[in-house]
Amino acid sequence: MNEALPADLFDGRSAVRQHVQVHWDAAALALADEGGAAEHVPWAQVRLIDTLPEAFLLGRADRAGWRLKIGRDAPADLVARLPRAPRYGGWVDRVGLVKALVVCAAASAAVVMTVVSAPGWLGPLVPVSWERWIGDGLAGDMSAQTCSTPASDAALAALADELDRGRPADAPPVRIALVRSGAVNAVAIPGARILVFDGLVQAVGSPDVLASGAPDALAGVIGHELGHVRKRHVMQAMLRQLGLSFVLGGWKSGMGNMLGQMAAMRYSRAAETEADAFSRTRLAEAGISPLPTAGFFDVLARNEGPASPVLAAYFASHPGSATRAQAFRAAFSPGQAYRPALTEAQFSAIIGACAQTWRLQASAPGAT
Amino acid sequence: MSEPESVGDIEFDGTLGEYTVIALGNLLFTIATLGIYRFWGTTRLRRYLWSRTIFMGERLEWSGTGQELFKGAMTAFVVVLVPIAVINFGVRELVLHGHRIAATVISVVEFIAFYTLVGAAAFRALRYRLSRTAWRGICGGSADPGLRYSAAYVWKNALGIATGGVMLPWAMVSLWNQRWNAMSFGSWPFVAQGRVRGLRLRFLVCYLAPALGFLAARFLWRSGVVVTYFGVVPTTLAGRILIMLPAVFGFLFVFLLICMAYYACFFRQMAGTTTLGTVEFRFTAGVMEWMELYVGDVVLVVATLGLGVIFLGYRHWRFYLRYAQIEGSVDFAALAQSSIAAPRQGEGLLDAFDMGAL
Repeated sequence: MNEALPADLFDGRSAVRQHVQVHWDAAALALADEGGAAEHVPWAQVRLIDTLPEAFLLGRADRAGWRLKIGRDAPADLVARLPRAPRYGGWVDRVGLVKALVVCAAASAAVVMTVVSAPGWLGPLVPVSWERWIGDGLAGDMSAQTCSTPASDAALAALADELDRGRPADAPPVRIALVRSGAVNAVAIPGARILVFDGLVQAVGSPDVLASGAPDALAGVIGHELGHVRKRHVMQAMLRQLGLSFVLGGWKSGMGNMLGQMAAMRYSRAAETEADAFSRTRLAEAGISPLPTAGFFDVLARNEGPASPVLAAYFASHPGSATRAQAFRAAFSPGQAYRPALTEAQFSAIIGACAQTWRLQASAPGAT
Repeated sequence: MSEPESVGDIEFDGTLGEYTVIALGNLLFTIATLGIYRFWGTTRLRRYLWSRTIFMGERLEWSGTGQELFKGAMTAFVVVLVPIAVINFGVRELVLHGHRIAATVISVVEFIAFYTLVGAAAFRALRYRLSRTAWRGICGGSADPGLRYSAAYVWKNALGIATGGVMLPWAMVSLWNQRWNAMSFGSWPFVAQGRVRGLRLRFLVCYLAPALGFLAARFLWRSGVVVTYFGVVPTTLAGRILIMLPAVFGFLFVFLLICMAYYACFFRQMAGTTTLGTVEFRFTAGVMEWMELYVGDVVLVVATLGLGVIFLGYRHWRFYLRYAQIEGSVDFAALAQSSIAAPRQGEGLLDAFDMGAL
């Protein structure tokens, strides 16, 4: 044992500060108080709690609250024997800060990539009946918002049947509903359901928008949504969102959301392109011209304004309408004989469905 | 026997520079781990702030670990958030199948249960923070699991709301007392004897401000002063909203000021009536100091595009230290370690919420 070093001791039993003399050797620390009583602490029990500006704060693994303060000017021989204090904690201290950062970042990137890409093959494995159950739960009973007349239902069913010829034998038929909403849009929702907004039907049917071929454009849009259904994009997107919200849930700020959106959008654009291709194939097989659909996208492109900057494209869920119009126009083959997607009677049943449903409900006895 | 020593000021010898080094390291790791590191980051920041805070010649010590915060958060996720998701799904199914009454009953029960958990979380966060705070080898804590407090939290706040806010100051005061009276530091229990007197009127002002503000705005609008001042008569809805915007922001600022005046008074009064053994507490911040803190926070965060968030912990800790005063004397021999069991690792699930303030 060497010469004594003065230090402060709190024994963990009371708040009294005791002045002690510290001795040390290879096996233990020895503390002697003013009365001469000695305490031996094997090095294995000593913990470095913190390195304070003026002192090393030591603790004992076996005694809660026991604290020994040794001045920072302690002999080098003693300082060298002190255990090391955790800085960042655990293995980070062992491998080093920079390496740990790189490892963590790589692992996180791998996790995000897995979560974003796995739904691509996982989605189609989810039984259709499960998707249907989830979809019905999410959308619920939509009869209050949908427009339905016997003629419009029959026309939509006939169109769906025509476009959905190649569906697998075990897949349930797609259900198309007209929704009373002015939005120029159509969506595929879980459970092999397609919602066509009345605003889209009215826009397609308006002579200001398309000079002719309105039913064919409607078929093009429904073919696109059918692509989402048959390629299982809806299930994939749901799994992706679920996974991302779980993985990025550790964030408190909106940063994680933004990154997640960007990652998901890239896949969304890929899915849109795939659904467009699906639509073109089915239109060709059914003998329906792709030109009115191209014309409809032209109108949308004009409304979108000039081409968006590159950065904005990363945040866009759909490819540009001009690009889509071009692809549909290229699918036109001059030699093929095309026929209208719907008869005039069928299309006027669809275009008038919402107005007629409204009238029917208003005049129904007991209607509120 | 030792002589009691009189209490001096609380000192702080940390620097923003040192804090920033830790905070930026945390930010990097938090990004690299998709947010998981933040539990360990929080712990590192607290260790720093506590260890640079000196009271009667000795530094505070934060003995909590990131692992226990992480475990707590995971437990809370499994035990609280997952059941809530399942119940919500069940309620939706009930509604879809026409069982509206059953769905409503379950929703109300769920809401009360959730509110109870919030009360428990506030109590247990305070208990957790005290149990991980040590000074001269002594740490704080509570032997009370907080069940009665959680129940009181629900019914007292419910009464406060049911009486149109009249009883809210009483609810806040009585909950403060109940919470702190369950806490101790070493062998000394905290004693909180807060009174509602002096708070009701301030709260009433805070409560009536929106109505008065609305009437004042209506009067100004009708008088035509606003239109004359701007020199234009708004014709569209957007124009009307735009012209009213300064008034809306002005009102929100004044409303915040009034509410803050109540809160500053509440906090001052509560701290002043809470004691620990032979020491008493004072908190001297008034409404302007609180406003300076929060307006400063907003300016800092906005001006740094959000990066300033990492400095808020430092600002708030300095704020509390600057305006906190401790008076009295301490006989160190009389302040013994508490008989409460030493802090267990990752103690309860609700430590995870880690909300409420020390």
